[in-house]
Amino acid sequence: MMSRQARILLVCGVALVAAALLAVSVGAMPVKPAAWWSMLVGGEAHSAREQAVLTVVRLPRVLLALLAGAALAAGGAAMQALFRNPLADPSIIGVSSGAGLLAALAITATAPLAAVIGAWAGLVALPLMAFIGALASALLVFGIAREGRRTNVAAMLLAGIGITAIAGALTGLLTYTASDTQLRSITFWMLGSLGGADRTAILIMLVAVPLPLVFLLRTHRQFNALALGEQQARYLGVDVERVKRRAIVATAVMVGAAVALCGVIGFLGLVVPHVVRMLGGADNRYVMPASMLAGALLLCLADTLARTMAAPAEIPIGVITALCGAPVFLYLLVRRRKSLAV
Amino acid sequence: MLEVDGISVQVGRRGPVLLHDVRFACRPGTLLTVLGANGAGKSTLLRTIGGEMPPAAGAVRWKGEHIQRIPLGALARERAFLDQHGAVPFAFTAREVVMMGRYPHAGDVPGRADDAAVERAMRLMHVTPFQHREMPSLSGGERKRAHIARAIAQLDGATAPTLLMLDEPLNDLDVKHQHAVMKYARQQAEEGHCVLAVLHDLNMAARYAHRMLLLKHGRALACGTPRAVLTPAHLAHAYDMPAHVLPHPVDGGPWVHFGMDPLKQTRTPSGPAPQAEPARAELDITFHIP
Repeated sequence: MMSRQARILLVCGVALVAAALLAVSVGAMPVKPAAWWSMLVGGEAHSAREQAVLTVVRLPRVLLALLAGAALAAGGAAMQALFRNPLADPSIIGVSSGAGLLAALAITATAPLAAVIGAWAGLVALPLMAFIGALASALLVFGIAREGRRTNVAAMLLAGIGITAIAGALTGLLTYTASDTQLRSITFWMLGSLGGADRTAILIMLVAVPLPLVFLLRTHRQFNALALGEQQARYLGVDVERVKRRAIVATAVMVGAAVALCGVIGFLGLVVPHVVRMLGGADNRYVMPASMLAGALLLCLADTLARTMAAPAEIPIGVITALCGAPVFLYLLVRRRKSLAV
Repeated sequence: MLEVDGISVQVGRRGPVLLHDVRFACRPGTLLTVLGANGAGKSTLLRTIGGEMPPAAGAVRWKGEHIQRIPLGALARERAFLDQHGAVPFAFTAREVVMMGRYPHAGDVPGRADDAAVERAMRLMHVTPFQHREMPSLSGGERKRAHIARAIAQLDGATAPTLLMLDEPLNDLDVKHQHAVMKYARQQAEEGHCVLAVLHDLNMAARYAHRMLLLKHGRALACGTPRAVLTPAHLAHAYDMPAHVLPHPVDGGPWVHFGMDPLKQTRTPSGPAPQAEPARAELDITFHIP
């Protein structure tokens, strides 16, 4: 007899595979399962065009959705455990707002940027700048919250709010001065899109995401102990400062990369860990892997919807994640609100 | 054994002095209760012993070693601390919380020995019946029992002496479980461990403790056997209340009563006559007690 948690993990895993297969099949040019199957087992696709659609367009996009979804949801779970606060999400350490500011800068200041980094600018400037922005603001928040060798988590929460406000204001200023086309780009970026998926993006994600995920999976007991409070975790033998440092770095790197490549996809990091906990309990040995699977699953489905619903146009993915996920979340909330403790 | 060697604790450089030159030892086989009024420094003392803050002067030694130099992991296998706050922000079940006590011992996945330790601890604190319920849905006393069971599980099977520190373990508990905790603490001590407990109930302390430390304004007022520490003079000074110490009618130990001398209280002639049972008129509802 499998435990409830193991069953949930299994269902998420199976659904994830199904969703990924669905995602590579549907789109502007449908690809029959037989085509990707024959390609998968080493043969050739039925036509060169199908092959190109699969390898150049669909696969990178699905992989990006899976990696970014897992990173956002696991980052949310880690921040909630670290801050002992069910309302925390990855943006709490400033990654999204910092990335947003530098992304807006990259969009509005293309000319000076091109002068500095040359012809590359058009290709890499935006994600690179966004990634730098994400890491820089996380570092700033982290630095403000340090007291000697300790990290004050409550101060960090407030520092995150402060940095987010400053970055938001500056982004607002850039938006105000931007031209109409630039404004549209900024707005679209802020709502998130996986349209930038290509081999480079996947390569970046493969460098930035798996290691932090493995770290978070292995830290489940420390995260559980932290629910009792930092001092109690210490009495259980947890090196609290080390866990805090590593969890923050891991989250900043993987969520920073996800935000840099996909824009701001809200909601996922906050809500997926909640849904996972409402379904199967709070033990992080289950919450971490389940959040990763569910986050990947949701983003993959949301992206499929985003690019098929109004094809050939694309709906911003942040809109989809919020519109589809929030009602599910509210339903679970109403059903289980008794066991929620803030 | 635990040696507290003249520790002083101060908030910042010029802040208030929370502890001043406190000196005592807790030998294996001793249940030592720490007593004192609010703000006397009881919790600060426990936290300093726990290594949460370095003392401004003096040292805390466990088995002859500075407690702050012992690696956290090794320390967690022979020292448990129950603090006053029991809030858990997520819906962990009671059993999951008790299992956290086994983290210092278990591998990545808890083994059979850990499960057995958790079962024993849950049985001692009667957590078993609600082990699968989530912490936020439990009453304050049930939550407290789960946390106590966690501390018990943490020291289960550890070779003596271990150090068990309980900061106001009786808060929120009903009478039966207050005694269950104190009995466990006493028995744990008698098996060769060190047990330190901050208590407010002096009569519970008198009944179970081997030794007592009475604090006032961060200084040790008295340290010794309950009989030696619980004197009217010590108590009146420590708690700023008139205190009387009578022989306990059952075990003959010290029995503390604050306020007016209970034996000298006289009834006014018009007062009600003494009654073995309350008058019917004083009871709104009566039930038959079999």
